[in-house]
Amino acid sequence: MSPPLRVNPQPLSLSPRQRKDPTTTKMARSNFSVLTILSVILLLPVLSLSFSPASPSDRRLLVLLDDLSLKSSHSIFFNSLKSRGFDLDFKLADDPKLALQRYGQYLYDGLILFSPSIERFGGALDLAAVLDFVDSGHDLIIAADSSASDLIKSVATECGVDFDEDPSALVIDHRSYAVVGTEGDHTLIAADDFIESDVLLGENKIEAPVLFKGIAHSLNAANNLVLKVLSASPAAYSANPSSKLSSPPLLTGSSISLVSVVQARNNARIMITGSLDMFSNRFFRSSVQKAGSPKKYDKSGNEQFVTELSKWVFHERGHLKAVNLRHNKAGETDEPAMYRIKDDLDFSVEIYEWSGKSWEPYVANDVQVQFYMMSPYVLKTLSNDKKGLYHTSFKVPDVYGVFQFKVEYNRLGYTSLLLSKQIPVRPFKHNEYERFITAAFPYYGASFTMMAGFFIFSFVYLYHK
Amino acid sequence: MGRATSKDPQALIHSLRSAYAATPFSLKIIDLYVGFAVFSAIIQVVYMAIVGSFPFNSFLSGVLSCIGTAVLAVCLRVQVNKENKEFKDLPPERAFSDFVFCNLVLHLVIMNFLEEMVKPESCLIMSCRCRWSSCPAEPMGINFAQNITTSMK
Repeated sequence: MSPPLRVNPQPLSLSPRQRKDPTTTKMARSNFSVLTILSVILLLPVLSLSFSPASPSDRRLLVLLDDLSLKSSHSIFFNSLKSRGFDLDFKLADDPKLALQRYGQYLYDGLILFSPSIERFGGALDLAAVLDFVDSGHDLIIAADSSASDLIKSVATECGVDFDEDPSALVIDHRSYAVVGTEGDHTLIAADDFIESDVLLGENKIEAPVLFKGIAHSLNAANNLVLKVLSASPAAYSANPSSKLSSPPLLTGSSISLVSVVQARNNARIMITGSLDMFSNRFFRSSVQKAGSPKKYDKSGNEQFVTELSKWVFHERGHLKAVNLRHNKAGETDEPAMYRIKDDLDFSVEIYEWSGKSWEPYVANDVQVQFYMMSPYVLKTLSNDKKGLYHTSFKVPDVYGVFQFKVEYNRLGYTSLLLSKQIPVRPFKHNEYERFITAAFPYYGASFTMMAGFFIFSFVYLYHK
Repeated sequence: MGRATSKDPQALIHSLRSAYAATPFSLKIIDLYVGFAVFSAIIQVVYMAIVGSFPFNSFLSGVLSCIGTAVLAVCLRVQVNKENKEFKDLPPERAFSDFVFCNLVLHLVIMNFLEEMVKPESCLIMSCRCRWSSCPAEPMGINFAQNITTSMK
């Protein structure tokens, strides 16, 4: 996002003083400066139109490569990013001028690490810098392969996945390998065990299996933000294909993750895969036939899978925003500073999803609002009008105190929405209670009789003599 | 001690009446006043027993205004009674002014209390709820007003 443009009003306030100046030269100069300033101010709306509106999608990506030949061997992937409006900056991973930020500002919105074998980044980049980049809400794609260095593995470990420790191990699958001309060692896997999520993988189902050749990783059980997007089949295992298995492999079956994603609490998104070849033109264009399956696809699912997942990673899909949180008493329009117990109120909020180009209404039937004071007293599902407006009405509970309207919306693949707005609830005022209750008339009568009795008694007592 | 006969209660009542006849007139007025207050209090209690305790504040204020009136009148009677040596130094004017002042306070309170302020279902003890139970941790506490985290990047 570009920094906001500021207009300094200082020069304008100077000009009237200059105009009073007696000398003509100064007069002319001041006229000139006034004209300049006026023209700049008149042009400002036009100028500001040329800036892109605030959008959550990434725009500038840094691609770190081991070898510049990757630029051409993975060109389909890079071109699809470019055609979606991304500004790609290719650098060698050991470039001595590497830097993610300058003067405290990040130069990039996303980072693609296609440099599995790098032992030390060049320039100011290191493990901590990459993690800071993610911690400040930026996105990351990590692709490793059999040559993965400790550095890349430790970046992945910090993100919540553990690559296989054995440097020579590859994912082997003797059941769902991709059929190629020669028998081979079954390290080229045709994987089709996708996560079921439209927001992660797009609405169109990925028909063809995804070709994968690389190393295995497993999810860190302590990290509940990491998700397995593409899982290995139950028959897969991670071992060195060129040597005999002397001991049982550590990573086996569907605990092996081929592609994982993380959405951090700050909505930074990370994609981790053990196969750099997955992104290559060769795999994109290759035909695929899964072992044991008669069906042969002319084109592998890689292109669709990688493109759709990269759309998610770079916030072109599944990015929600909630605006215009409103509440008011039923029948009124103004937002009160306080509610009374048992008031009827209307609550509404607008939720939009970023489509990559514009904010589109988000339609779901599971958004809930809580009326919360240490625990939810009211929990209501919001109904929506298909235009992004979510609405409900309810009665304030018969409890007073400081409440909050809370919308906590966490759904797989979507950014988490956490909204809250504080509102106090007061008890009835003294004059808001029911008055002149018929059943209480004898009591009223007795009280007033006692008063009258007191008056008469005093009179009689004082004057009886 | 002689055995009780049917004449004894009559004799008792007779002696009581003759003793009471000697009471000064001012004290008799007070007695009448106390009797009236206690009688109306009893009527209200009976009424509450029949109708139910719904406007409970009103019931309390009605009955307490009667009881309070009776108590204050009894206090006045104790203080103005000539035979009561305890208050022989207290002038009856002072006793009556105390009575008037206390009655004013009493009726002010009764008027204030006469409305039904407590709804039966209203929970007066509200903030203790759930403080010890397994609430999700309150991350921001009370300074959370208008803090809308919309995850803008």
